[in-house]
Amino acid sequence: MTRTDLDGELLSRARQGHGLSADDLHRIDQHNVLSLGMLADEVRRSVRGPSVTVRRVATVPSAGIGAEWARMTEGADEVRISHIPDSREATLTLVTTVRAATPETLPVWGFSLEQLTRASWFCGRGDLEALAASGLTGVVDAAVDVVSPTQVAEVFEAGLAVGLLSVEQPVMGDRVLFVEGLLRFLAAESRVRRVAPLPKQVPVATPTTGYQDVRLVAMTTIGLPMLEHVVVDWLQYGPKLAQVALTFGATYLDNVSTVDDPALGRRRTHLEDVRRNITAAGLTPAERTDAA
Amino acid sequence: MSHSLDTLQARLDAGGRLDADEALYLYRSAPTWWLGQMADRMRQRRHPDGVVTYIIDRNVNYTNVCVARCNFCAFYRTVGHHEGYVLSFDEIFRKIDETLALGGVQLLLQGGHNPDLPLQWYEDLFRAIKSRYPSFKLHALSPPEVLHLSRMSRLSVPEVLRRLIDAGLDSVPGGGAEILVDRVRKQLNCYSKASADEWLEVMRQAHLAGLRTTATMMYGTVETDEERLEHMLRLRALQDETGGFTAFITWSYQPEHTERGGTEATGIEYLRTLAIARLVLDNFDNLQASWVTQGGKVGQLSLAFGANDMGSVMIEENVVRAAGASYCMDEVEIVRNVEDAGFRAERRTMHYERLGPPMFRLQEMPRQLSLATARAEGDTSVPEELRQYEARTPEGKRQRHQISSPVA
Repeated sequence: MTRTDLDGELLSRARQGHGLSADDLHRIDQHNVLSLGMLADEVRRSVRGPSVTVRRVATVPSAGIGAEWARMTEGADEVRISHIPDSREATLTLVTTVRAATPETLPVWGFSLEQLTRASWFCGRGDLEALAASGLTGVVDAAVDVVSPTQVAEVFEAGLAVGLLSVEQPVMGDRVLFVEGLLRFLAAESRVRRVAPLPKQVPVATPTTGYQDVRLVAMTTIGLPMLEHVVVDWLQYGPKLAQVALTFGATYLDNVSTVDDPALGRRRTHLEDVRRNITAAGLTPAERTDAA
Repeated sequence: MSHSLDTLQARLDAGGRLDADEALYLYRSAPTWWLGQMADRMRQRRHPDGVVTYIIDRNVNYTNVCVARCNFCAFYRTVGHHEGYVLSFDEIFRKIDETLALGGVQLLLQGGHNPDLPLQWYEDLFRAIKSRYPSFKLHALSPPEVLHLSRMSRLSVPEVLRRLIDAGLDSVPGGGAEILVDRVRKQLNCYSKASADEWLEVMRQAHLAGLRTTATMMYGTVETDEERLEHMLRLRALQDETGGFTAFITWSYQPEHTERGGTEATGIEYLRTLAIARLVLDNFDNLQASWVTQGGKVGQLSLAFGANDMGSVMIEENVVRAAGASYCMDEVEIVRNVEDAGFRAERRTMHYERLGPPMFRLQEMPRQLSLATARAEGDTSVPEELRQYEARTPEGKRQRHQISSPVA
């Protein structure tokens, strides 16, 4: 039940914000799931404290915004456009429309970078600048297994922000290689300070397991202590796994809906429930206050 | 009284037992990691071979008609309700055929307290199943159902059990325990279906009759931490006396569509409850993971918090689904989760006899990505054979009359 001296030394380095070597990370990754969680929790508490940031998101309906939009944005930290239209013009019009219909105090985020790069009309910098001019605050995320640091840099250069680094496909192999890959990505492009390590796309027949998910969260926490946040998507992963992930080092619950969608089950959306889950995990809820 | 984690850890490591006060201290105050690691250590001591078991069986609810009216239940329908159903013997046979095709070995057969199904119906059903499927096991009728039959038939619980065993009952599931504290049971409106003493007495009689049973706990309604532990301690005392429980299964109250409503306990609370159960129930061999209420991911993490069994493949589920949870894991998925957690997966019987490696590795199996339901939506058919059994309620009598006098 006690950690080794070497664990203590590695933790001490992580707590000071230093990255660990591949050998160190391999050693840490050998721990059983509970010991690994315990180490990650120590790093998280000393580097980022016990607070959990909750990001409330008003997602633009794919059918477009209607009369209920004002109600949907009440209590939101941001507005998010998740679907991407077929043409450049339609996309810019969508952003303009959403921006105009949304209170000025709320940032309008939209799309993932890989979503944009896959759009047939997307040509790069010029389109990003046009999106910024239309009122887009930033690109929601950029999947490190799809886009390059150069592509992320281009987003910033176009006057947009990038919310977080994400992962599109499950990390099936070596977690240490994943952490090293993230370190390299961040060395090349350091302006994004949040990472969501759990995959955005998961096969229905063979989803990632609980062990895989929480181990990845823990390794990201320990291996990347310089990050501002380790992020879990509340809507996608649900309260059970998201809550457990908090105890393995996650500090940020993204995509907490402002509107209860009965189709998702009520337990997926209530802010009160989110706060209850955070508190029951021994942590402290804190909603984001910055506009970006 | 003051406690220290080190002292209690030393006691548990030496095979010592926790009392109520110590258990409460740990449940409330021990870090989650500490609880998990101690529970894992206890699990490892009891199951050193690194095997995690599961059973292939089908969870069949023969009727949803119930007079108990527990306010935490979203599954039941009142007598005469248009959505009330009783499965026909043929429907149950078809479910058994499907279960056998998937390598299944038993039915977990439970249902509502239907006043229009007499003891004879159960005996005939069990005999018919055993006649068609002699080696197929019947893990059937939780203590409140046995008590309901005892009250309806005006026979003692031992006599009802004897008749059911004669008809083919193999073991008794531990459902209907909720929290074995009468203050809680009264608030949940389940005191009249079985008080805490009555539930335990049915189990005692079942054990005395040579049956093995499971024990359950549904937490997260109105009970206190002390009452959860009282529940566990009462089970531990009966297990000391009879040794008849094969396993303990706990799950969180599922609030959706219930009269009681409210919120569900969190995943961390589930893992802590499971872990403290492993520490308190030191005379229970097996603790099951409730993936059906917690989902596959936390279900798998249960294996690090004291569970040594992934429960059932289920094939079908109606009760928890009615209350809003709709998780599914087929055999492939259960085994993948077990192995990913570093264990070896083996099939088992209700008695925890090992049956060997996963069935899908022995023969080709279709994947099951959703659980079946008792009946297709809109199916309101009434079994023909019900005409042979006398109904007690006016609605039941009318229904029987309609079956007996079909429109030409």
